[in-house]
Amino acid sequence: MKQLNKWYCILFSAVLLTFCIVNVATPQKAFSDNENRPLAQFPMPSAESILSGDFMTDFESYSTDQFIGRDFFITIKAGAERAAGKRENNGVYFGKDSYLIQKVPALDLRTLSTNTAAVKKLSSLDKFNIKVALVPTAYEIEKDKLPAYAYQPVQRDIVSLTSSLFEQSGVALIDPYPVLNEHREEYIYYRTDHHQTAYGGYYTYQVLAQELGFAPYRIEDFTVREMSRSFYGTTWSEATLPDIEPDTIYLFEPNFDISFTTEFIGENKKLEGLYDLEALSQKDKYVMYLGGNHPITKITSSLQNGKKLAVFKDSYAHNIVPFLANHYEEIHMIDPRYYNLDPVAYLEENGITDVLMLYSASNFASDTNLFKISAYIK
Amino acid sequence: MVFSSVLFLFYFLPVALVLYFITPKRFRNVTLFLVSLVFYAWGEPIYVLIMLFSTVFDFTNGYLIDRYRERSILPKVILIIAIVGNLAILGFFKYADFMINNINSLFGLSIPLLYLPLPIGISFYTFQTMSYSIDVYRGDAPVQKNVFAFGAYVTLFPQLIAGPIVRYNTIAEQLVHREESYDKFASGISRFMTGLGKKVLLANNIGFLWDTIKVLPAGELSTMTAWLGIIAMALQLYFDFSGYSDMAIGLGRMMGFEFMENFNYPYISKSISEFWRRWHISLGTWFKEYVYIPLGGNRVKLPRVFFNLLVVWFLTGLWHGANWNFVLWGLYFFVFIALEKAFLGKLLKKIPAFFQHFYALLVVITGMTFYAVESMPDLLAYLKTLYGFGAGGFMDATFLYQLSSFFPVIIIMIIGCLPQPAQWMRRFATGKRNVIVPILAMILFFLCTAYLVDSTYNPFLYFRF
Repeated sequence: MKQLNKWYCILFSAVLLTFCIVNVATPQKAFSDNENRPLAQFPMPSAESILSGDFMTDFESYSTDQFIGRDFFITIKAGAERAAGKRENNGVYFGKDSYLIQKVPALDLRTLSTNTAAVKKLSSLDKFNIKVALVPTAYEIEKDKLPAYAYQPVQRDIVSLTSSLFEQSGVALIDPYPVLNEHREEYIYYRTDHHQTAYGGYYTYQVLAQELGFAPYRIEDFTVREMSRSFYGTTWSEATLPDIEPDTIYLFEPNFDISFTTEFIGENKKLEGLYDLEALSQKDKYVMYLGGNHPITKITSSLQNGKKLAVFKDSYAHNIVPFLANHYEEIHMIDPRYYNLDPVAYLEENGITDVLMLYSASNFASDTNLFKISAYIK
Repeated sequence: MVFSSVLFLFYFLPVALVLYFITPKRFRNVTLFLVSLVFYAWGEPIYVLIMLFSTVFDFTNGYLIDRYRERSILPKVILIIAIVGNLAILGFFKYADFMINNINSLFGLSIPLLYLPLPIGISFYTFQTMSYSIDVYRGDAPVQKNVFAFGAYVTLFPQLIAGPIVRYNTIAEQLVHREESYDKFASGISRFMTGLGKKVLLANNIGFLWDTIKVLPAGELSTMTAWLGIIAMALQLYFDFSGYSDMAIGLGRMMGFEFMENFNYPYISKSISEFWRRWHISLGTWFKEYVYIPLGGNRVKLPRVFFNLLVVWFLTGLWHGANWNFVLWGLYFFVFIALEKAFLGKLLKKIPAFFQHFYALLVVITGMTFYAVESMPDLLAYLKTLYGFGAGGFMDATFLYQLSSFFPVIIIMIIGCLPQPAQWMRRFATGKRNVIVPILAMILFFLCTAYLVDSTYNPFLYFRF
């Protein structure tokens, strides 16, 4: 007993000291691929930062972010949560058939009405033809795969509320839900990411095409190429379950003659074509579609039909717009999260009158940057 | 700094323990005082000055009380200065805005609020320093002539921010003569790990459920969801708070201290009086020793006893936070304790034990609403929903989803509220089988580390104390 207690004390002290020393001695990492975010770095203390307490807060972030074996411990935690009967971890449901489905925020009426008001204000200028498309997320379409009782019709409520808020405003609402719902047995949502797959993007495009006034290409008009079979997306990073199969990234290549250039306006960067194939070697392979998030992305096609479209969007648009690009000479994607100048001026400079708002239903109701689209209108 | 953090476990604790044990025995209080100051200053780099002031102030008062013990009126005057001084510090930093608000609404004034952030742990250490002056005055404890030993008592990091409230006379001897040993250290580790597990694996876990439910509009919850929420809150508070006390007791033991127990399976109580003898014992004892008994306690006429109880429960409520809901919470318990004293207690003893438990739990859990919901309209709405007068019906999908997700955790926690698992463990882990203790402790430590590294949710519940 005495002997055992002695060893117990020594073991405990050794564990504490070893972790302490190893944590201090290990060089810090700048970025976590698994979590797809920069990690907190060692904060340099100063009299000011200590007195304000900033140093302490930063040091605590540093202590968990740079903890030795962080990825391993995070997986252990997720495994323990699931073993304890939990149906979710870090805001991601453990769905059936290894679907990791992002939770959706409860309906926030105030933000939704701010956002619809911003769209209506833009519309009241009578200069633009505005259509709003609200794309359901996996939570809505794959609801059969959610844990029991987890589903609530939040996104359907968002669509019907938005529709009534847009009544008699001249803004048209596009709801791809019925079509996506028909195809719900297909691989239209990633299992490990919150986005649609390129197939989901294609079906959404079919709906949009009709509403935008042209006939969509048939699926046979494309050759579907498999770009990667090892995609672990955002919901995987949040749920961090170890035993989930990766997703596949597809690219729809037109069988007809067309070519594109993609420019990131103001960043002095461009892509030949619509895809950033280099992104396939990084963790977040979804960035392949149109090179990820940028303030303004301008897509010029080889078509010479004079048609132009502006798309205010979130990242759900990235695998839908490549299909739309087959019908326009120019598409300008504007992301209000990153673009802080007057978009009306931009549209007028570029002679654009057709505007599409392309958002996931939940983002449209909860994004706090959308007001910017009409913030400069007096 | 909180115990349940990577920072504390893997940076502060190893350094503090090494410094403590390499210090020669007679200087250990100095080391303890200094590391405790760092511990506190980490979270309160400015307010640490108040604590230093408090240390010097009460050290001086104790010294003067002892020095002039023979003078007729002087010790009493100094004691009053000590108490008023401590209460002034507490009143200013904790209750100023509350009082301004009340004065404003009572007289229609608009005195601007101060918006002072509450110094962490101020309610704990001011109560401790007050106990020192009172104990010295009463002759219950010897004066402490070493300012570092006294400083170590005031700032003692194991119990600094969430108790237990260690009264001076229970620890005076240990401050000067305490023995550290492998056996005590080992027992301290086990106790600390138990507490860490209660906090990190269970309290934080169920706290997530309460946090989900409390943000929903109280009037629209279903009755079952409301009960699930408040039960989750009651479990969270118990496991969190008693977990903190376990960690404090464990850490103290590692350094040779023996603090009093703070919780004794409160949820097995059969009456409200019993509940409060088992819940946050150090606070109850403090009020009993320094308020209730000086007022005359039980040894006065019955109406006066009720008055004494009223004072104690008003103060107990107010101690938990500067808001009327906490006062209401205290008074709510006063009502039941007074009733039990008057007749209910005798009545309860005559009915089967099951109903006694049911009564106590129902009152305690309903009472948690007063504690957890701070705004009066929300509080009323929540109570209405609990008792079936809400607009959300009896049961809904939210309830079913949350129950199915948290069911195993709830069951484990309910079992953890009973004394049997610990008794069983003590009986099992004897002789050779004792080796299971370090093994379990290390497994707990490993799991807690995993949860703390992925620390998206780790609330500190006592910032209002």
